[in-house]
Amino acid sequence: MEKKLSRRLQLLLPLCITFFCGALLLLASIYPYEKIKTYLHIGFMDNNTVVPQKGGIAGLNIVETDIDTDYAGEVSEDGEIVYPEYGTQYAVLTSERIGLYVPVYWGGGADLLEQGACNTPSSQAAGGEGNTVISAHVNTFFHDLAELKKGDTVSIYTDYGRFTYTVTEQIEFLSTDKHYLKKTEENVLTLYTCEPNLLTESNKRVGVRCLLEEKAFYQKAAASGQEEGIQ
Amino acid sequence: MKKIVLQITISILLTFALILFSGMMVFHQISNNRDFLFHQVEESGTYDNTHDALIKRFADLYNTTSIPVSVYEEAFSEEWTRYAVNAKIILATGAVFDEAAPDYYPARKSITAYFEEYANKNHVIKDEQYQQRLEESIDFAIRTADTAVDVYHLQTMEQSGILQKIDTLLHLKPVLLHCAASALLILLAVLLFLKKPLYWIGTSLFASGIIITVPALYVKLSGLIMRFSIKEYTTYTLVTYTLQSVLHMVLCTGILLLTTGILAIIISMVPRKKDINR
Repeated sequence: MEKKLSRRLQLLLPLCITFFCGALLLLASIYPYEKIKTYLHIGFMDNNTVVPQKGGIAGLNIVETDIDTDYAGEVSEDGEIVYPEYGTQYAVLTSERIGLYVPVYWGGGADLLEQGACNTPSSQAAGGEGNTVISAHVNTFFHDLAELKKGDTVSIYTDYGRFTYTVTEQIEFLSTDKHYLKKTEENVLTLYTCEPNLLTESNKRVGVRCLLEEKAFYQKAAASGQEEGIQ
Repeated sequence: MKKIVLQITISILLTFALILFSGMMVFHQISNNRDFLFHQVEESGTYDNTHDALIKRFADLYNTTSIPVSVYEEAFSEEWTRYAVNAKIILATGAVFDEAAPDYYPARKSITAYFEEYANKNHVIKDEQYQQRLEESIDFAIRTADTAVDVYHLQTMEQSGILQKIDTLLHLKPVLLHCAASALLILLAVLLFLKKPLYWIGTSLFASGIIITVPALYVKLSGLIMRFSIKEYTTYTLVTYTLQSVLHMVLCTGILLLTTGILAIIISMVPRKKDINR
């Protein structure tokens, strides 16, 4: 019997010593943990399941869309803007006088600027109240932007409507100056790009400011929006 | 009774000595030489990732600078990237600056050659503005590449004081290692003079093995390392790979201690012939 007890004790003792030492270490690590807790949280706080990809922004989904620029159905001055997802082409920007025909993506960054012009998400979408800000590279899509003059017409076609703007002024500002990118009371369109510069990055931005002259929300978009509401 | 209390006490002390010794050995393995860091960089494909990311950055900038990416590809080749990444690691781990600094002469040469070719072709006057733009472009390229090849962000760590704290630990390492080794030997020697030494050594090995293995397993199974906040591909891949390697080392150490402890306990509990004959 004593031998059996002794055997049981021999098996339990390692576990007891383990728990005792573990408890002591746990107590001793409370203070150091409190010290480094903040850094650990900052360093390992990401709960996303998105794994970084080689090249490009992790999780960025660039979607091209076929925008109808020949819509001939019913239109109305009132309607709702359909905000797109980040990375989606939601419009086409045109100006007949300078032969401008550019896809417009909702978002920004190097990857999207390679695909077309970018409508800054912190500004308005086309046809919205306030300032719609669209930018593109000067050596690609906005190569001829500087040729737009006061009085020229610029149109934006989307899936929910067609919007016509008139150029009111040519603008020039430093990259650090946010004046033309801020909210406005008038419904305007701000188009800008980098100032072309020889062999170096320019800190100047050039472009045009346009006033919204005509809103034409497609009735088909309104109808489908109502149907979705009923469902 | 007194003897058992003594054995238990020594076993507990031996457990802590084993944990400290194992921890210092793992730390010694990581910090002893740069080969560990070089190995992580190699195995995680960081040389290629760094080169690709650097060239992509310059390719993205083409739209604003009009300098073709081929100029930078010539300056920052794959071999150059490998050499520069290693140079940064050597620099941060205590080398003399002049011997180990990345060489940016190829960048200066390539960009200058492109500017001159462009100027000659387009009849651009090489005035003060031209020189200024040339210097700005070279300076920008060097700064961009310098940041990119610092794959462990050791420069940032140095500026924020973290590298100095690690340096302090490195100075303490030999002292702690010797203390742990001495304590281990002394405690083992004392146990050998007591009854059933194999059992008590096995108990300490078992306890230290569990204490090391359980938290390491928790970190592995919870995927804590993959929640690393910096999602830039090169940095993320390298840091998570390095941390996984360290975790693997810790886990192996713990499992080795645990297995050895269990074996020692079992062997010590097997009745010997003379015990059976009594």
